[in-house]
Amino acid sequence: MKIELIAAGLAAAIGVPGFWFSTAKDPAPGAETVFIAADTIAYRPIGNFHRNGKSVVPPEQLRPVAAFEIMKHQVSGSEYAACVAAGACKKADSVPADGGQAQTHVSWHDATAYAHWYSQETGHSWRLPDEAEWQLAAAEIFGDEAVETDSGDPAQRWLRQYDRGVTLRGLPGPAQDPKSEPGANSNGLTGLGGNIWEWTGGCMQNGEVTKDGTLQLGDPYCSARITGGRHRAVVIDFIRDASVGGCAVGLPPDYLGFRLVKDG
Amino acid sequence: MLTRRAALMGAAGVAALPVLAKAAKAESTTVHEAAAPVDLSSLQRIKRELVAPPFVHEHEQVAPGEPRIVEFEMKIVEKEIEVDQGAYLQGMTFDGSIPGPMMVVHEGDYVELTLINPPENMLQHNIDFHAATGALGGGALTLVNPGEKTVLRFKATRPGTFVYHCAPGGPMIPWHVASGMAGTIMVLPREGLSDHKGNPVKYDRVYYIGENEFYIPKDENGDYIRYEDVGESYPDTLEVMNGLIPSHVVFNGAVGALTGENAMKAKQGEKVLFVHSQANRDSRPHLIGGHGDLVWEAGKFNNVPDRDLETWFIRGGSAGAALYEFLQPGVYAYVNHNLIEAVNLGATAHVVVEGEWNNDLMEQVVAPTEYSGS
Ligand SMILES: [Cu+2]
Repeated sequence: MKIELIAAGLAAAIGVPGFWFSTAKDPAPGAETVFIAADTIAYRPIGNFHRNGKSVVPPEQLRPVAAFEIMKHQVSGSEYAACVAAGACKKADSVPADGGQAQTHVSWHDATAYAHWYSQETGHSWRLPDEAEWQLAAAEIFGDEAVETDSGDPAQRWLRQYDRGVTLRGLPGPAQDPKSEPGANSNGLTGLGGNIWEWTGGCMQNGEVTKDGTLQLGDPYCSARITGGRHRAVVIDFIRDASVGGCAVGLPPDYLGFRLVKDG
Repeated sequence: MLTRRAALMGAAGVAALPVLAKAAKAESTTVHEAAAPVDLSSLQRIKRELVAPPFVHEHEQVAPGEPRIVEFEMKIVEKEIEVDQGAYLQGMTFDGSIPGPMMVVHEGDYVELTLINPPENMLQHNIDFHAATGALGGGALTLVNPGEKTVLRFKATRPGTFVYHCAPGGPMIPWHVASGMAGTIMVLPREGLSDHKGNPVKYDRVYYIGENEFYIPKDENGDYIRYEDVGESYPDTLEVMNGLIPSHVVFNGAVGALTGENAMKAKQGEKVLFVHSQANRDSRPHLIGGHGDLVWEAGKFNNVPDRDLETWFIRGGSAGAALYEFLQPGVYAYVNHNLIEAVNLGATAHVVVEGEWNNDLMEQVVAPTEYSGS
C-alpha cells in the first residue's frame, strides 16, 4: 500500500496521471483494468466470532494479498445487458437509463453468471475479487467498521458502531438514484465511495478467538457474501436490493453492483 | 459483531466507515465496558421438551416455588410444506412445525433457549422474543448460520402470551416470518391466571393456534409454482408478499391442520384456554356456537380480562388468550371471522366436544317443516 501511495504521489507530481497503473492491452476487447501490486493489509474477517462463549469482534490480522488486475470501472448497464441478450445472465430488476452507468440491482449469483459469461467472451478468466483484494484495491475508500471490545457489554458496542455508521455515512434520507462517485481513488478505480456496494467472493466467517488472541476459523457461510462500499456489509447471495433495511441497528448497502478481477 | 448487525439488516448492516482507512484505523477504539455478571447458580433448572402445536408441553399453572431456569432446545428446519393440495411452501420452521412450539414459563423465570441451525439448512436465522427485553428481543444475540448453535437466556419479566419470530434482517425478516418462522411463549403469573374479580382461574386444557398467511406464487396458468429450494422461491414470493394479498390464511401451517382427525378435543364442562398468535397480520378469532368467557385480547395477564366476547382481535405481531367453558357438546368451528379467510383461504379449526345436550340452553322447538305461505 505504501509503495503504491508513493508511486501515485510521484505520478501526480510529475504530471503523468495513471503512470503507476498499467492499463491492460488485450487483443480481445476487454474491460479496462488496473494493476494492483502485491501488498499486506490489516484484515479483519466479518462473521460470528466468539471468545469464552461471548461474541467478539475478531482482531485484525496481517494478510498478504498477491498482485492482481481489477476492472477500473463497475460493470455497466450496457455491458450487463449484453450478457442478458446472450441468454447467460438474468435480467436485472432495474436497468440504468444511461447504459454507461453502473449496473445495480444484481445478486451475487447474477454477478457470478456475468463473470462466467465474460470469461468465455474474452478468453480470459474473470471472477469477483475476494474481500481482501477488494480492500486492497479500494485503498483509502475502505473503512473498517469494527469496534473492538473485550466482550463486555453488547449494547455499548452496537451503539458505538451504529453511531459511527450514521456519522460517517450521513443521515439516512430518501433513496437517491444509484450513483458512482465521480473520480478515481488512489489506485485509479472509479465509482468507489458512492452509494453502490460491490459484491465480493468473500464469505461470512465464523470462528473462535483463542486465549492468546489468535483466530481459529471455522467453515465459512457462503450464502452470505461480503459487499464492499463505504463500509462492508454482509448480504444474502440471492438478494438484489438490500436497501430496505429499516432495522434498529446497522446500515444496509444502498445499491448492489460489481466489478471483476482478471486472472489471466 | 458487525456481521451480526449486518445480517440483522438482512442485508447488511455493518457499521459505516466511508472515510479514510488510515483515519478509521487510528480511530478504531477498544471498548472496555463490561456488563456486570449475574450469578444464577443457586436457581433450580428444569428442562422442557417442546411439543408440536396445537399441544403444549407439560407445565404447572401455579408456579411451584422460586423462579427457575427453564431450558428449551429448538432446531430450525427449512422444509417444503404442502399448505393445501398442490400448493407447496418453501417453509422455514422453528423445530419443524408451523407455528413454532409454544413455551410456557412463569413470571420471574429465566428462559434458556438453545437454538440450533443445522448444517443442512441454507439460510441464517435468529429469534426475537417479544417477551424479552433488549437486543432486539434477543435477535441481535442469536444470529446463527447453518452449522451453528447459540444459547440465549432472558428473564421473563412480564406475564402474558407473546410472539417470538425470526428476524435476520432487512427483507429477510418478513420473508422468514411469512415462511412460517414464528411461535409463542406464554409467561404465566406465578399464582396462575385470575378472572375479572381477581379470583384464581384454572384451565383444563390449553390449545395453541398459530395463524399464518402465506404468499405462494402462481404461474401464468394460475397454478401454484413449486420451487427447488427456499432461495429459488424468494423473488416470486417477495412480489406476492408486497401485494399484501395472501394465497392462504391457515391455522397450524396448512389448510385442514386442525379439522377432521386433527380437530381439537374437549369435554362438556371443561375450561379450555385458546392461545392464538399471528406474527404478521391482524386476525379475529371467533368460536362459532361458543364465546370467550375471559379474554385477554392482547394476551397480557396483568390486565383485567374482557368477558363474554363474541369475537376478539389479535393484532398482527401479538398473541392473545381466551378461556371458554364448553357448555354444550357438539362440533364447534374456531375461525378467523373474516369469513373469506376462514372458508376460502383456510383459517378454520374444529373443536369436538363430548357431553350431553342441555335443552335449557338451546332446543329445537319445531324442526324444519314445510311452509307454503300464509
Ligand atoms: Cu429465519
